[in-house]
Amino acid sequence: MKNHWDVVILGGGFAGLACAKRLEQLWGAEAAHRVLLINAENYFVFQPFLPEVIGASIEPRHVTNPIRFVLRHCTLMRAEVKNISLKDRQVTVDSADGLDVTHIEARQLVLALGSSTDLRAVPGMMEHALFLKTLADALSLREHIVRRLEEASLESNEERRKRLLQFVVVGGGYSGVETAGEILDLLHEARRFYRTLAPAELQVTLVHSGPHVLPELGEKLGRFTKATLEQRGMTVFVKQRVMSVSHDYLRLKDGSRLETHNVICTIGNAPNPVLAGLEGEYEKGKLLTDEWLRVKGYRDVWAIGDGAANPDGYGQRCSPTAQFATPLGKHAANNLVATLTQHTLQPFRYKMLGQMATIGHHKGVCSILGFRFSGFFAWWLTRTVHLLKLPGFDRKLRVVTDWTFELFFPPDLNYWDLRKTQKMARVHLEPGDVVFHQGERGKAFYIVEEGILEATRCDADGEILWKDEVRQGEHFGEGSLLHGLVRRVTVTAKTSATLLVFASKDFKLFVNLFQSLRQLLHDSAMRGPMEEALHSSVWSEELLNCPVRDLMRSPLITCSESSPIAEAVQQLGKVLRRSYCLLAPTGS
Amino acid sequence: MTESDLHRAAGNRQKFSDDVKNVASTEVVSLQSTQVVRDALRLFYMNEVKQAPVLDADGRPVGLLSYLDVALARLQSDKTGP
Repeated sequence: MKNHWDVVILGGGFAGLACAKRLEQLWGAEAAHRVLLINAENYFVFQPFLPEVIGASIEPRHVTNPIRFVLRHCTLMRAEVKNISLKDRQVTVDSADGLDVTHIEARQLVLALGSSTDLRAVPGMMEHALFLKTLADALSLREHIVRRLEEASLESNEERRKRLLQFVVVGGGYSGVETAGEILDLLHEARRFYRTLAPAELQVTLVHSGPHVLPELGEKLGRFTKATLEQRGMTVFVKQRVMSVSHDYLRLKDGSRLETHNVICTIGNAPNPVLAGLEGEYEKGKLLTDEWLRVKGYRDVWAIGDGAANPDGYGQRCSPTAQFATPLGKHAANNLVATLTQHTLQPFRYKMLGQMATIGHHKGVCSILGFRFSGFFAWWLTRTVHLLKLPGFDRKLRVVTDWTFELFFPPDLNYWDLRKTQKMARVHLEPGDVVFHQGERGKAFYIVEEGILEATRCDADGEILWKDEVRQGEHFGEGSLLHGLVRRVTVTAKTSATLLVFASKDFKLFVNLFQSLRQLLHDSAMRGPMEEALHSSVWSEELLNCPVRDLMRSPLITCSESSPIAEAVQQLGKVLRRSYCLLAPTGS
Repeated sequence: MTESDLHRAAGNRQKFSDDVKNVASTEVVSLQSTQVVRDALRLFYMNEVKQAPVLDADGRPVGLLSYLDVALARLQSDKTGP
C-alpha cells in the first residue's frame, strides 16, 4: 500500500464515515487512490442501537456494518493510530500489535477519532464498572446480566443475592437512560424463566449528577422520564454523584452505599488519547477548530466529531452526537476539496433539529423543533429515525426483523462466557471491603499491587484466633485453590488497595506448568495452617522455646552406608518399636 | 533410614543383602541443636515429616527429634506442672 495520500481520514465513526462518503460523491472511483480511511475495526458501529443490544432487542451483528460495504471506493486500512504529527501531516499506524508499523503522509489530514472513556477520577470505576462504548462492551454487558441472573438463582445468601440483582447505571444522559430502560425491560422479560427470583429482588438504579435526567431535552421531559422509570420500579437518584466503586458496592456523594456487583458506567467521555498532546489548541481536552473545521493554526488538518471542539455557527460548540457528526463530516469533506482546488471555504453552520431517546417499555421522549412530547409515539419516532440513519439496506431489514421477532418471542438469554479468555483482572478496594469470607469456596488468587490488607481467622463463635497483614507485593488465596478447600480466613482491606486477580482456572493452569512456583505457593499455603497449629493451646510457650537438644534422642544408633539392609532392620528392631536409625556417613 | 524406607525397599523387591545406601532417603531435612521446638514443629509441618536428625555446630548428627518426642515432653510437663 502506498504511503502518500491526498486525504487521510482517521476514524470510521459517524464523522469519519460521512466525510469519506462525501468525498466518494465528489470524486467517484477516483477516491480509491486518493482517500485512505484508517480505523481500528473494519466495521462501523451504530452507537444509538447499543442499548438495544444489551436489552437483547437487536442481534449484536446487526448494529454493525462492514466499512467496505458502506464505502465503495475509498481505501480502508484496519489499523490503530499510534502517533500523529500535525505539522508534517504524518501518521504512524500499527496493524498487527506492534509488528507492522507504517508511516503515512497526507496532503489533507482529517482527525475523526472520537472519544474514549477516562474515569480515573472515580476510584474503582475503571476496575469494576462495565462500559458502553464499543460493541464488545454491549455484548459483555448483556452476557454479564444473564450471568448474574444465573448466579442469583442459585444463591441462597440474601445479601449476596441482593448484590447480584442490583444494577446501577451511572449517568442520566441518553445512553444512561436508554441503557437503564433496556436493562429493566430485559430483567422483566427474563424473570419468568428464573422462577426462584422475586420481582422485588430485581433492582435497577440510575444515578445522575444533574437536577434532572436527559438534560438535553429540558426539565419537563426530564421529569417525565424520571416519573416513568420510577413507575416501572426503577430507582432514580438526581443531584447525586458516585464517589467510589468497589467489588461489592458503590459509595455516593452523601455517604450512602449501594450494595451491588453491577455498575454500568455511561459517563466519563474523554477525547481519544492519541489526540492528546498534539501541537494544537485545546478546549476541555478537545482539539479546537475554526469555523471551517480546521485545527487552529493548520491549513490542511481538520478535526471533527467527539474528539474536537467544533463551533456550530451559532456561538455554541457542536454536541458530541451522531446528529452533528454526520454534517460535520460532510462539511469537512467539502472544505478540504475546496482547499485542494483553491476555492473559497464555507463556515460550518448547523442547528440541531431535535433530540430523542427511548426509555424502555415502548416509551420515548422527543424534543423536535421546539415541540416536546413523550410516550408511545415518541418511542416509535425515535426508533424509526434511528432505523433510517442506520447505514445499509440489509442492516435496516435485519433490525426490523429483530424488532418483529421481539414482539412475539422472549429475549435471547444465552450466556456466552466472553471472559473465558481473560487471564487477569484488577480490583480496587476501599478500607473495610472484604475480598472473601472465611468458609467461602475459593475462586481466585490475589497479588497485592497497592495497599494493605488483613487476613483474619475466627473460631466458630467469631472469636479472632489470629490475624496477619498482607502488603504490597505479597499474595494470598492460593491455599484453597491448591488444596480444594474453603477459605480459611477472611481478607479485608485496611487501606485503599488494588489487587491483581487470577481466576481459579487460569491460576491452576499456570501453577501446574510452573513447577517451582507451585512449590513456592504450596509452602506459603502451608504456612497459615502451621502458624495456627503453633498458636493452638496444645503447646505451651515454654515448650515451644525449649532447645531441641533437650528433647532429642541421643546417642544415635548408626550403621555404615555399605551395610546390608538386614543390619539396619536388626538395629531398628533393637530399639523401641517405633524408632529410627540414622545412616551415618562413612568416617563420621 | 526410616520404616518408610523399608516399606519402599520391599515394594521395589530389594533384597535384604542390598546396601543400606540404596534404600535410605537422601533428601533429608535437619535441625541445628541450638534451634527450639517451635522451629522443629515448623520444619515437620512444612516438609510433612515426623522426625528429623539434629546436627551440632560442625554439621555432625548428634541426635534425632520426632514429633512424638515433643508430644511426650508436653505430657511430661502436664504431670510436673502446677
